[in-house]
Amino acid sequence: MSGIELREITVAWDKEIFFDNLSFNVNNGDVAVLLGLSGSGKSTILKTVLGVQASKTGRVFLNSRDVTNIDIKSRDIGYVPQEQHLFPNMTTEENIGFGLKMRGIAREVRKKRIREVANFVGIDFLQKDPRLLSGGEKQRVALARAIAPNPKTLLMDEPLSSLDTAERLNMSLMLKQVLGELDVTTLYVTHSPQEAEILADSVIVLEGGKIQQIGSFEEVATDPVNIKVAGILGIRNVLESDTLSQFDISSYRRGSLYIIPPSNIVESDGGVPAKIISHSGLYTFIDVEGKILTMEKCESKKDIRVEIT
Amino acid sequence: MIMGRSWIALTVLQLITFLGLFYIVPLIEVIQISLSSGGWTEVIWGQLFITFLKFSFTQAILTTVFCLLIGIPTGYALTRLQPFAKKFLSVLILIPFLIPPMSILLGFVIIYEPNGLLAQLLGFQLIDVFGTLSGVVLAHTIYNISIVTRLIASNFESLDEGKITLAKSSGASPLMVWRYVYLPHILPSIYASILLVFLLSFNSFAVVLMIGNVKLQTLEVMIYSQSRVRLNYGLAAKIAIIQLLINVLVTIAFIRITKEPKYTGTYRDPPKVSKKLRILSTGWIFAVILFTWQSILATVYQLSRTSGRASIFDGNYSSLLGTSPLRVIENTLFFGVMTGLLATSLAISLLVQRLFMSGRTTSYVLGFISIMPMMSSSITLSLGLLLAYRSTSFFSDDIWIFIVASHILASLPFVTQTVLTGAKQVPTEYITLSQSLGATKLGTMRYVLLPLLAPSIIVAFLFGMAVSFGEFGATFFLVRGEWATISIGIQRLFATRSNFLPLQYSLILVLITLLSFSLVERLRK
Repeated sequence: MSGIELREITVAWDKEIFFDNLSFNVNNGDVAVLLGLSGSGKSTILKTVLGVQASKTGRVFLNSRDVTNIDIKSRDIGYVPQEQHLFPNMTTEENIGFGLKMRGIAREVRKKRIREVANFVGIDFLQKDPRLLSGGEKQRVALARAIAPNPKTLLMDEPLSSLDTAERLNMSLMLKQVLGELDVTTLYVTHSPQEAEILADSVIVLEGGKIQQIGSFEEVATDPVNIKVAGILGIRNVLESDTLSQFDISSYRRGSLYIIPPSNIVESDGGVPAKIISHSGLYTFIDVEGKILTMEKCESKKDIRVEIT
Repeated sequence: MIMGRSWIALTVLQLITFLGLFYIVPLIEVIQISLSSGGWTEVIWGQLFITFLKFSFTQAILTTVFCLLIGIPTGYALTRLQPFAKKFLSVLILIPFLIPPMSILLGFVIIYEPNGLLAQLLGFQLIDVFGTLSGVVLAHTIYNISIVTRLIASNFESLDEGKITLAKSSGASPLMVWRYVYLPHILPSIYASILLVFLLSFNSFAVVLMIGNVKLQTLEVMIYSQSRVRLNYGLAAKIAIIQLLINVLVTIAFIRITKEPKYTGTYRDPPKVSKKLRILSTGWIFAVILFTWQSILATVYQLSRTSGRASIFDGNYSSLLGTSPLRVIENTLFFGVMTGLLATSLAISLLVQRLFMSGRTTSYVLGFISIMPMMSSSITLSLGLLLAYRSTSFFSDDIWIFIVASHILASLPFVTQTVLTGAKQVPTEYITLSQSLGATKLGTMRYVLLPLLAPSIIVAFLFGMAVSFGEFGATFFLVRGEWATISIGIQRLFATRSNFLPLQYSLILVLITLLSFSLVERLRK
């Protein structure tokens, strides 16, 4: 059964079309990661599911229920925004319990549930002013607030983007554990392949308002359908197969693309040398300029020789 | 859902009812009477009208020029000071603009009357301010310098000092730096100052009524005298329409000329300033503060050396005031609190519509109408109320309702802007989040938005109250019986020999204004 299903959704502002006939579905209980660069439309899709972005055409289904014309409060959604946005006029405890209070849950039951959820996500600072919490602590509270009413759907909009690298990794691992134990279908927006790798049951790669590829992270990472997807996943030195079909470099072939490890690119001894136009200090990636004339494998097996002009 | 819609519909109804009854209907009445009575040519080419129209423009232009001549260097000087001194002196400069005009006028008269404080100090009368253009311009300049300085200083403060360094390092002379860096940067605040000071002076009522000595009148005073003294409503309505058109045209012309009269108030590091320039700046600012505070200081000085039989606690002058002196204070507070509460409630209604109504055209139309009273003067609005409701029993028995309504209209543009600006600073994500957690629109207002907006709402309430405390024109036009306010009290006692009671009144207004201002500043932090 589908937890989240978008059917032929078209989103447009004035004459500009952001999505045209976009469809996908997320299995019940799965974590689907919407992966894409800035401006690819990830957040717009999330807002369409949330109910704050109207679509021109198409339907949105949550747990097989058509919610297209249902207002946000009746969609049974937990939402974690990018900047956490904890209510500054409430304590941490009140923030977590807000959804329960709005559902008319009795105070005692509410308190019990707040403690339960707080323990679950590792919160031991219930009386703290949310404005004084660290980025990671805020994120835990935002997550606890979203899951406290036990929603069937969880929407997370780049929730870790404001954290530093180390904290982001810790929080990703914590989220993996928490989401694995919840009976909730999650749509998670990010531009980070690392978060997608840790969290995703399935990855939906977006570019220019179009779905480029859907699959498990493993599938998408090892077999990106095009250069755009490979770029979004952070894979460098990707060459389209039609350019290279004449060369014997099949060991680098990944589906329709050739992915060449940067360290394997060496300058040619003969002909016009390759001009390196940019590289990082550690040569984690190299961009070369020119048209490839010849390409051959070197004796070392790993390396290829590229001659360009 | 139905309940959600019905309370939002109630907010629409509240705004439509108020604006319809107290703004649209009266305005239509003025337009209707101006059109039905004929004789437009006689009005437009009438000697008296042309004289007063010329005077209105002349004094407004001169006031604007003088305010800019003093305000630009003062704004520049302020930004040359250390942060604490800058903040403290900025507040001192702004305060006179917030003091009700009648208080400033009383102090002004105490200084410049033939036997006033200045004449006593010098031994001769330096300037005749009664019935002269120079008197009116001087009074308006004292009142308006504060706001010009504040606008210009904010604009100067947002200038990146790197641009000055760059210009100087490129060989620009100080004059060229002013011409090519400072001036283009502060142009938006100069445009805003011109528009504000021109409109305030052009529509001035209290100052010209009190020191114009009848022979000098702005169109605003002319509307009053034609309707209230000569009972020539047709002529008054025609002048009101002409004045309204001029206000609208001037505003539109300015918006066109300046395109985007906005400027950023981004804080920049204070510029490096030589000791000499800092001393000069401080000296200049103190001179300007002395100039703008002269009326307030004169009031305090005069009160300290005046004694009289009449105080706010006895019954002297009750017949002149129409009620007891203490009741005048009660009336002022009553009108202030009512205005603050009702104007804030209307502003919150508008906010609710902006946030939650699906078809937002209605809310934008209502929002636009709430700003419109800025262009139609208080006397025009009062004339409209008189024409529309003079035959009703409400108007004869419960004039306080119309006084409160006129105060609300005067404060509504400021109050709604305060609430809406406060709401703009609350991320819309809070609304989305609250509703995703199951809150209704009413629940979102009750538990999330109102607590977050509480400081803005209190500031809006204080603004509403402060505008009501200082309001003079509409109250003067409408007031009857026992409903005199402090400003009206000061005006009625102006001509009496003893200044003791008006001075006490004036000081009360000054203190209330200072208290409100300090509360607003504290809440803003």
